[in-house]
Amino acid sequence: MEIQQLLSKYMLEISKVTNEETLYSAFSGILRKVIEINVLNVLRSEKVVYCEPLGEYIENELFSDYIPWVEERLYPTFLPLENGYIGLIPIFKARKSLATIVIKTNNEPTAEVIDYVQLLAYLSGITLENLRLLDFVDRAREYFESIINLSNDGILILNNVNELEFINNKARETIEKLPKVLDMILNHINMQENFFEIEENNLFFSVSTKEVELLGEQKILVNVRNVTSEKEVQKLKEVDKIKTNFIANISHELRTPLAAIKAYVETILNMPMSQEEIQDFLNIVYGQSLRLEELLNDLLDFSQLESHTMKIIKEPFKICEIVVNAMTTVSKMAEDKGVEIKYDCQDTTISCDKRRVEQVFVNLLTNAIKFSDPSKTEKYVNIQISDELNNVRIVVEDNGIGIPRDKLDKIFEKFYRVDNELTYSAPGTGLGLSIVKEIVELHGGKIEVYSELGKYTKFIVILPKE
Amino acid sequence: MVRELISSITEIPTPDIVVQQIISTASNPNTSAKELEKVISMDIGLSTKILKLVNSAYYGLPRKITKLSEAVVIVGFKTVRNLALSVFTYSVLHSKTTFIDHDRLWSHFMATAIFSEQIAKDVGYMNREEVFLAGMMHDVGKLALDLILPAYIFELANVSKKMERPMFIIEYENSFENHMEIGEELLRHWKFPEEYVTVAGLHEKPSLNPNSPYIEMICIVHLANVFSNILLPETSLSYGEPYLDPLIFNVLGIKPSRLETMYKEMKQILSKSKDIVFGGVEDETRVQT
Repeated sequence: MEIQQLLSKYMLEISKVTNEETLYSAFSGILRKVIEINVLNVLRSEKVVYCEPLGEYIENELFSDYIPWVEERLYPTFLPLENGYIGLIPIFKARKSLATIVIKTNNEPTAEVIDYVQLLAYLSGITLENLRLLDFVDRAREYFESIINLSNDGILILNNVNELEFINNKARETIEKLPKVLDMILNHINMQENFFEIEENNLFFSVSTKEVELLGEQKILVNVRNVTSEKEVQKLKEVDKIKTNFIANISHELRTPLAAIKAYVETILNMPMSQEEIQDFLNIVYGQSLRLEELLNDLLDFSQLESHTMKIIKEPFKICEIVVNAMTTVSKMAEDKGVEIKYDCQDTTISCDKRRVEQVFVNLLTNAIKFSDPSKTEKYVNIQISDELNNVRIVVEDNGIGIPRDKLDKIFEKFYRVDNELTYSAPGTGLGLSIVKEIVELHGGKIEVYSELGKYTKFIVILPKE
Repeated sequence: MVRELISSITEIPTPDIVVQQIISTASNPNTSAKELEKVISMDIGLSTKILKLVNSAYYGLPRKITKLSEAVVIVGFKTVRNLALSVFTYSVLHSKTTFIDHDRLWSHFMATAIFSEQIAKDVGYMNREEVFLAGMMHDVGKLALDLILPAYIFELANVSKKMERPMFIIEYENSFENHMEIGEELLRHWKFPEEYVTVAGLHEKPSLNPNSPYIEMICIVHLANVFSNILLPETSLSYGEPYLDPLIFNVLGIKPSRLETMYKEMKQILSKSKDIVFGGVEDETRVQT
């Protein structure tokens, strides 16, 4: 065969190779067209990586001293033996030796054979380097892909019409478990938000999005991090802080009535006083004792709340009667604050713990009065009770200072006060609403809150009749 | 005019039959390599000198080569051919005593040959042996001038030295036939293939014909010549700052910043090949009488 034909045949063959082994096999095949080969080895970094025939090795000591020389010189060379030759053919690209092919042959190589071999080595060098580069790129891609998939963060890429284009393992796991998460993310993205938190199934995710350019196209990179445990820790820390505040708060609350009682009783004991004066003083002492009792009751409720040991005893009662009782309890306070209590009751019988349900009303009313808006001329609390077949619907609405939107879900938490600091702008233990919630839930009911800052607060309690 | 001069003047040696055959293989190495090997082998003087060169530090062989047939398979026929022609060129250069130092000019020839081969390796040019030979023969015009008009080239070298300008620029400015053209004619006269003739003609300024089919070879030899003039100054009879044609960057695909690394490499290669650059090979002229 003509050299040119051999070369075009070889070039076609090496264009198809996918790994080093097939390249060596093709090289061997084309080499055998011009020179007889007894054994062929391929050396890479002094190790044999390919053999023909399988398992046959050419004695290393016959040529090993020539290997560095050949790899430096980058020309094929043939070392004469007693009978035959050892051929050393460096495969190289630019100045880098990529492999050395060692052959054992009986033929004496002619100048044209050596020329031809050099040409083959040159062509193979290009292919071999491409193979290794490809392999390198493959492994590099695998490496980075593993990193992305091992990440604890979910990573997603969305295209310009918000379709999912790439998703790493973590994100896939999350979305398979909680399919709503993806919709929520897309909603936020549609609202042009870059950082947001989403909650689903008691799990919290912190999401950040970023517009990026990938391979010349606009995409959105989305990072989803599960922050549930951070949230929990944060919550625990908050509760801890609130408890500390609570102790300081309650001590202050207890001390005030106690100081008053002590001072008035001391005066009675040490000063000559008329019967009337004593009567007045004792009334004040009595009032302060009631306040103390109330605080201690709250504390008792709190401990029951903590240990979930609150018990209710259900008996049938008229709902309106309970409401009227509660209104009487807070009437003095309402008067002091100038808050009008409006009341509209559709009477019905309900099976409940009277004392506890009364407490619900008292707490809600107390709150409404306590947080009335002093800047408003007309201050009111509106109680509306309606009979709804199996339930009683209670609405307590005021035009007080309202509750910030982001605090709405927290007001039922133990110790929580919106001001949350020892400002004493309004006295209280911060337990009222959590006790209310506990009682309502023990009755099998539910409570909801709606509010607008500076405008109104509305509690809706649904209590089952039975 | 030069052509007539070269073919008529008896001072110009003509290669003997062995060298003629060797030259003919430079264009077509496949014709009779084996046969030629036999011819050279029979010439004990020539083959001894070739073996001495093959075993020099420049080739750095791990084992000593004792037979020409071994040399042909180990370093390759083309290398053996180049060495045979170096023996011939050396003897032509030393055939007559003139005003110039032939050993120094010889070291310029060999250094340029070695650098050419090294640059070819660096830039990934496959025909490195051809480049070696072209590098060795690039300045034979100076050799011819020295044989025909020894006083003229000596004077030319002096002017170049005084003006501190490369010899070829002075030649151009005086519009006398220059050493490039004369080199072309000499190589044609010796029946060297066209690529060697072209390199001899354009090696000082490749951009004179950027479309030459041998432009890579020309650029390699040009760069090697520059390195040679820097590392072995004044050996080429040319003085002043050597001219570097910017065309080489494009043709060889290298950045100017790479020259510094290449320069260091050339320096290293030179220190390793002192024996063949400076040693020379004493010989009776291989010239037909």
